[in-house]
Amino acid sequence: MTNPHATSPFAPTRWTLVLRARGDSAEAKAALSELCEAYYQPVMRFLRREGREEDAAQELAQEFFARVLSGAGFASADPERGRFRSYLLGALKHFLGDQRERERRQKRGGGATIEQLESSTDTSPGLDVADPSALPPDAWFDREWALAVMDRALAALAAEFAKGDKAAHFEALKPWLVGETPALSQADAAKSLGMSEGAVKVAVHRMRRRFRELVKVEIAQTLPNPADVEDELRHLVAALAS
Amino acid sequence: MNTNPSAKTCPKCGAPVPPEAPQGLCPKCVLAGAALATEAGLPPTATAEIPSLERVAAAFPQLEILELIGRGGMGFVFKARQPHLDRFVALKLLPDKLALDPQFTERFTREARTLARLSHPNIVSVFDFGQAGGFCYLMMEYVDGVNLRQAMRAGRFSPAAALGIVPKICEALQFAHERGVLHRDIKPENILLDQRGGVKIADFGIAKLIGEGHTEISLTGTGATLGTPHYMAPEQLEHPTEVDHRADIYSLGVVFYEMLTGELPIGRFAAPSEKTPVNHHVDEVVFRTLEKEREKRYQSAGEVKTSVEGLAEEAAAEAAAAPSLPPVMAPGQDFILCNPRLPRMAKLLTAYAVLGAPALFLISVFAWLRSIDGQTLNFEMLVFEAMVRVFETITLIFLVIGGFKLRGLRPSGPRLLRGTFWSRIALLAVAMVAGFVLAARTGSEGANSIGTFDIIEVTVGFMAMGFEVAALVWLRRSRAVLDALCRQSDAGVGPHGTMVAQGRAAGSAVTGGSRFSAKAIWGAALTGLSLPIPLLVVAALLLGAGGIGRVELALAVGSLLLFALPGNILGWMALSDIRASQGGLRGVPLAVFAALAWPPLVLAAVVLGVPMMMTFTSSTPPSTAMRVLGSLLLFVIPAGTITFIIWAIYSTARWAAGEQAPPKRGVLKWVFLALLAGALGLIALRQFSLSGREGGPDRPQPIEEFTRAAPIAGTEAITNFATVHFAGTPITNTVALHVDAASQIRFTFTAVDLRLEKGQRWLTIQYVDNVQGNCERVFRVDGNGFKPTTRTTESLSNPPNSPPVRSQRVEWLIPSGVSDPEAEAFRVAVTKSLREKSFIVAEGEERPLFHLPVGTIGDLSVVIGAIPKKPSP
Repeated sequence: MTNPHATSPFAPTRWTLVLRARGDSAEAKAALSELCEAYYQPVMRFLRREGREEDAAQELAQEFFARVLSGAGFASADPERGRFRSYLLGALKHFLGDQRERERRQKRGGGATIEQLESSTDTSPGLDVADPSALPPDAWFDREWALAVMDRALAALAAEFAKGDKAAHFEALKPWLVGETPALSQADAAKSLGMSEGAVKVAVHRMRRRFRELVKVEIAQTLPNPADVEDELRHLVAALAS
Repeated sequence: MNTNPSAKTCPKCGAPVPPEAPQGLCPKCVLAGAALATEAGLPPTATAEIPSLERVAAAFPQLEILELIGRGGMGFVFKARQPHLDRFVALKLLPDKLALDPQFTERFTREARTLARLSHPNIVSVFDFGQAGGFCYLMMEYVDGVNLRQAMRAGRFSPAAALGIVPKICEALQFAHERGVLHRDIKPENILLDQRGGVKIADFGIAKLIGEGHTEISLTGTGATLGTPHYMAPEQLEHPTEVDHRADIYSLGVVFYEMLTGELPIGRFAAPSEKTPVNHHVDEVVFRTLEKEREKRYQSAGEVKTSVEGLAEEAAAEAAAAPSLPPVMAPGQDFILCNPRLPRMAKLLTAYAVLGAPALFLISVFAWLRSIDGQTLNFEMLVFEAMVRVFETITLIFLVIGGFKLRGLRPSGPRLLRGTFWSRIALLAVAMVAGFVLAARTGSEGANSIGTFDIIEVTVGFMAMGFEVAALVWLRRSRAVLDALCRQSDAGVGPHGTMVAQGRAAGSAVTGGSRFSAKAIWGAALTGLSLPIPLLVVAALLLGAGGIGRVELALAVGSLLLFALPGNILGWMALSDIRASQGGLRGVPLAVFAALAWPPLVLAAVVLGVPMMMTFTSSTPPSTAMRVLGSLLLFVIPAGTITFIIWAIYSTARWAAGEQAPPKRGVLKWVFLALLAGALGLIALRQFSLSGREGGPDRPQPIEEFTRAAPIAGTEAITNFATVHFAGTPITNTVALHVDAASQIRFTFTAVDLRLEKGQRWLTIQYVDNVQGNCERVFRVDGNGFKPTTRTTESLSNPPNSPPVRSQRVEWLIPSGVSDPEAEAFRVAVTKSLREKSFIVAEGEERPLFHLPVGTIGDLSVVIGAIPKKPSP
């Protein structure tokens, strides 16, 4: 596959590193593993959504990521617009398709290389989910992806607060990340933190701004072109809203 | 990952938070918040495209989509039918692009929930809402009718209809306000009228629960405007976060005002009663809803409702009791001359100001123009009289305007009339004193016989003056009553009218706390300084008084450049400042004077001066057509120009005061027509009197009859005057036409000049005499010390339609021994001795004309006489 954004003037993101090296260099491999670690959760959830048990889904996910990291599924995937999210989803679908093919062959008495998989699928009640049309919609994957982005940004934010010995602040202030509503009383937060209401207001404002930055940093890592951050963010917001 | 096991709802959007949500926060809101800063771009509607009917139909299979019936800032409204319920619904859709935008979907959801909570007969109800086919939709009650905007466009609302609609809107608002819901966007487009006369408020889309105030900014984003500026309360524009239900009351007031008057209450707006036949109680209610400070407004929609219903009842009671009570009048609409609410004396005053005074003025002008034909007038007298007439015209115009204002019960009416009467009386006094002084100084003959006409004129004039004095006394004494009467009908200065300052009328009251514009003062001062010199020069030029040299021209141009130009510029700057200050600066009259003193003068000079010059300087005697044309030029164009200048000054003053375009009161029309009627009347009278002369010109006529038979209308008298004076050094005599009998000659000397002809100097004396009768004039010349050479040149003028006089000249050769300065001194001496000379010589009589030394060579004495005509063969 070619990288249309190889001449991007922006600093390379993890995903650009991966794409540039076609997953071959050590640097790319490290980046890819980081990315996979970060977005393990959506893949996991997607697999669970298909009706697998936790263990089965976990095993399948591990195999999938092993394949991705080994570069085996890398060439076969056809990432739409080159985004990591799209790439991963495509690869996952491809992987699952391969998996089913193997299962079918197994039923017809095929090769023995899939034993461990067979054992895991035997225990799952979702064996009959062989029809590709029954796959959860892409939007569902995107929704999980958005949750993962949010989770990572929140975790980064919490870590930043914790570094400054302000973990309590984060706990008290994080409800305002949803925005300002009358249901949330800044006066109460101020009381519990021993701050003035004005200080709370400022802190909330700073926290929200920092969160916005972190979300964007997080998203940018998965894009071939960091300038598409806004677009991707909108896509994720829409995925959550549907 | 910190999931919250308990089922929790988002405090923001109210949706349940999914268990897998990170940190137990609503993911939708959190990410939407993160995306927020990136959303401030174009206003959302700019990208809205109308979804096609097919698309909508595909998205809503359970509905029959019929047509698009509206689009607004929040989306599109389709008319649809629910087949299984067999009813029509209004389907409101968010533009599909925006359905992806969480900010919009959120606002949309909120609108639906808010509106669904409100169930009231005057509020459009919501059946359902949700998302389908990529649309956010809202299914609402379909109101079969029009919105208020369409209704107002179709035709003006009667006050009764407006008074019927407003209480229903109030009910709906009160209902919503009690539930803590503000509408925030009350405007005619959102008020629907169904076919059974019902009123329903739609689009509580931006309504929000009281107490949510702080979310305003983050919810609307920076690019999107909530509300419609013209209908928004001042505090809604200035402090959008602190809006309460009283903002809706203000918007309701705007709608009410618009229903009554068809206009928006912008700037210093007029009271509704000025625009439409309602009484001042309606004004009070409207003004109270439109108070800028919400503390002064009605505090609830219910209060408005009570007041408006009271008004409606009052109106109904008034209509029922109409025969016994004077009807509520719209000024100038329901009566012809006088407002029935005025006291009798005020009615008389109105009639006098609008009709009587102009008629008297026309008569006096006519009489004056007629009288100057038969009078010996000098330059000063003529200028003086003309000035008196001009000032009289100006006061008359103000009198007419004042009359119309009084008729319309405007508070400024009595004031204007008082001022005008004062100035008229003062003008008359000054004119009389100055007239006596001038007459005494110039020693005019004053031998004119006084006719019955003059007696009538003087009598009527004195009666009019008596009436004006009485009117002044009455106006002063009943000032309080009149003011009260006028103020009643002008609610703008009523107890709640602080913001609708009637700058036009109550200028001093409004601008009490403000300061004078320095620019206006300087501009007016400079303009005042610049006026006299150029005006004198132009007057001298027009009247041929001579004396215009380089110095005068330099002075005139200098004062124009040094004073008029900066004064004018300062005047316009002051006007602009005053307008921008919105009542913070005073001095509109001064600024208008500075800005508009010169332009109309230049206009008048071009429009009037050029035709006059052409008339005066043309040597050929004017034909009747030319004379009519000349009269038109001298009367119709001035009428139009004066009207235009009055309009320009009036509207500039209004503009500077920041008022709306002047209401069409038609006063200007009347001024113009009155001026025109006066002009046409004069022309008609003149034509009539000219044709009356056709009798027998040869018949010897008695004095009185001859005088009457041969008047020269004003234009011609002025023309003659000017021609005579252009022809030589003026002696300041005008032509006199009296001849006492057929056996007399009347001489009037008009000019003395020195002429150089073939190296010889001739002293020329120009005179006018009558050529009727049986006498011939004769000059007996005696050169005491030298032999004078006399020659009588041709008759200079005896135009066919002119009276039987001619202008002639006689000349004496000045001997070569006389030096030029001596000759000039001689000319001056002759001019002096002939100044103002006009006398009658009977048959056989002789009168010495002058006896003067000619340089050092001797004296010249001239005697003039009349001898019997030689009988023609």
